[in-house]
Amino acid sequence: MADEARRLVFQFYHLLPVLTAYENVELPLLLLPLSADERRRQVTTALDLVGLSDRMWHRPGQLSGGQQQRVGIARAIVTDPTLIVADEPTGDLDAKSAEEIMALLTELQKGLGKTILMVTHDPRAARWAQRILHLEKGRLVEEDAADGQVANNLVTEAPKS
Amino acid sequence: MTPLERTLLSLADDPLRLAGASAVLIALTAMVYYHKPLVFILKSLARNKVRTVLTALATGLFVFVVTLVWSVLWFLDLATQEKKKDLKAIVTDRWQIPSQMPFEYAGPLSEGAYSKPGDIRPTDSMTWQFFGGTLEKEKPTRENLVFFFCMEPSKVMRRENGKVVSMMEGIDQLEPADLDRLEKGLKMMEEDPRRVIIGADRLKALNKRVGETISVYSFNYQDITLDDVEIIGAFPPGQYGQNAVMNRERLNKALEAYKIQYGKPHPMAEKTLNLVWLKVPDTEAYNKIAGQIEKSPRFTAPYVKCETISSGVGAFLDAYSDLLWIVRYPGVIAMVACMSLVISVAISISVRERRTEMAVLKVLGYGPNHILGLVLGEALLLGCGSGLFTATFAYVVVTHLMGGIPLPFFAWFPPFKVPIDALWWGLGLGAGTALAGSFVPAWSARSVKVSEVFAKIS
Repeated sequence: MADEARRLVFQFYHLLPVLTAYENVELPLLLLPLSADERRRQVTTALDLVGLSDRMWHRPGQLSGGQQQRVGIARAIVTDPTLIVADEPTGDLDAKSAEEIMALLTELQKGLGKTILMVTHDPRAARWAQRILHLEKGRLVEEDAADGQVANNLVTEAPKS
Repeated sequence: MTPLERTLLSLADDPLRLAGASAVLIALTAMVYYHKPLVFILKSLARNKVRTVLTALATGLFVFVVTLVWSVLWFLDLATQEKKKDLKAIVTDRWQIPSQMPFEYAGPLSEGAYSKPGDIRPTDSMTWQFFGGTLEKEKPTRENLVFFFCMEPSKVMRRENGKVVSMMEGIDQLEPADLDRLEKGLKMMEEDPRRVIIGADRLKALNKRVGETISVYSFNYQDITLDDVEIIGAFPPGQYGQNAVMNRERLNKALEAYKIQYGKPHPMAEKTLNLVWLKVPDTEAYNKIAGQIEKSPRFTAPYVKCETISSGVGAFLDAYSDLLWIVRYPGVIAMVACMSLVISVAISISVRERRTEMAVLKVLGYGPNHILGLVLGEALLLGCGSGLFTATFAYVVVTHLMGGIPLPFFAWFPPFKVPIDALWWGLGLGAGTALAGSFVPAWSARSVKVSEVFAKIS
């Protein structure tokens, strides 16, 4: 799979602190042969999708944890990837923000048809998944299948590594 | 011709300058076109303003020192470069420093030892006799010292067909009002040899004003005191600000008076002529006149030598050649190495602090060379910026605001100035040292392994 087709969402957001939300989201686009207008359009669309168009000129330090994670997600989707890999995207968030982020990821999956591969230790986050693979020390130990619904009843706590 | 036209013409004349200007133009164009990375670099530099400012100051200080050192070397190189036209030659005692020749040499030497048909004369000449003294015999201090060039007043400056003619370096560049005052003062000196002109800076140190009368107790002519010395004018501050001019008749009469008073000539009586300056139209004329003088049987006690001012300066500097070599090569290299080290330390700290950011950039698709470019870009911007700023500062302050730094005891030298080329030196030094200093940390940033960085975080 080409690099442009997959993007990463980090547990600790890893936004560049000296850049604004807009500039952070724009970073991956600077490598693509796009005009400035095209870049602007894509960045504002991505920030709109995550509900942060009113915070685009804020720096990460001026945003809450949930908002920073939304910027991270906008940065991941701005290049329109097929696959989004999320590494514990709710690991550094409070429960309410975590719910919002999971809702946003689900919306992206359903609305834009993205495939989202999420790694988590959090059973509440795992409840949003359609398919759950349990790994232990790097080995697949169990697979739960869901039937298109949020798999509340399928969750077993992921092993701690 | 406007300054812009002059600059463009000077660029066209010098391929190196033209290449430099083109490189700067290309760099500026690239910066405008690819301004996003530039903004990112600027913001990265701004994240720790104290560190950036301290690094820039340290780099700037080194560039400032190197610029001044190179300016001095450039100045000396310029002073030892032979001119092809309108040369000035100096005639001095062949074997002794300071040069001390009998005053009888003054006439024939001023004529270039012209003695027979076929010989040629210099286009102009000037004799110098040095007279140093103090205003307070019992308590001579640096402040109450005064140093006179005893000479013919007309050689300081005169007008021929309305044009200013002077044997003294830089006099013709004085303001018209100063030239008028100087001309008037020199005529007064011709009329009465007791009258003198003293540099404004020296007058200030002596705490004297124009119009006052002083007594000067000599330190190089023992027991000679010049009373009733009337200060009738002042050289403007700068090149001649510390010097003074006296009609040579005054010194010669004082030596005659000594002979009458003591019944014997003054011990220095046969050693009063220190320098003879000759102006010659070209190298050929110089060679001819130098031959006339050095082969003349009239100048044998002591023997004399005739050399161009540049070779004279070169011979004088020969004594310091080892020191100059050390300053020019190991000294400058050591300073450049220190500059590189300062930049290297600052960039290394910055890279170490941002290894996670580098890894994130790699995850976002940035390649190792992008990361290398960003780090080198930061160092380059810092080095070039502080280098150019400091060199410009040195150039503007020394050359324009101060009008050059006068060398009061070498008044025949023009004031020391920082050349316009210093701007290139500053830019080049800044860029070179930044590249040298940041390459290792930049390579380290380039080699950041994403898996290692995130393994540590998790």
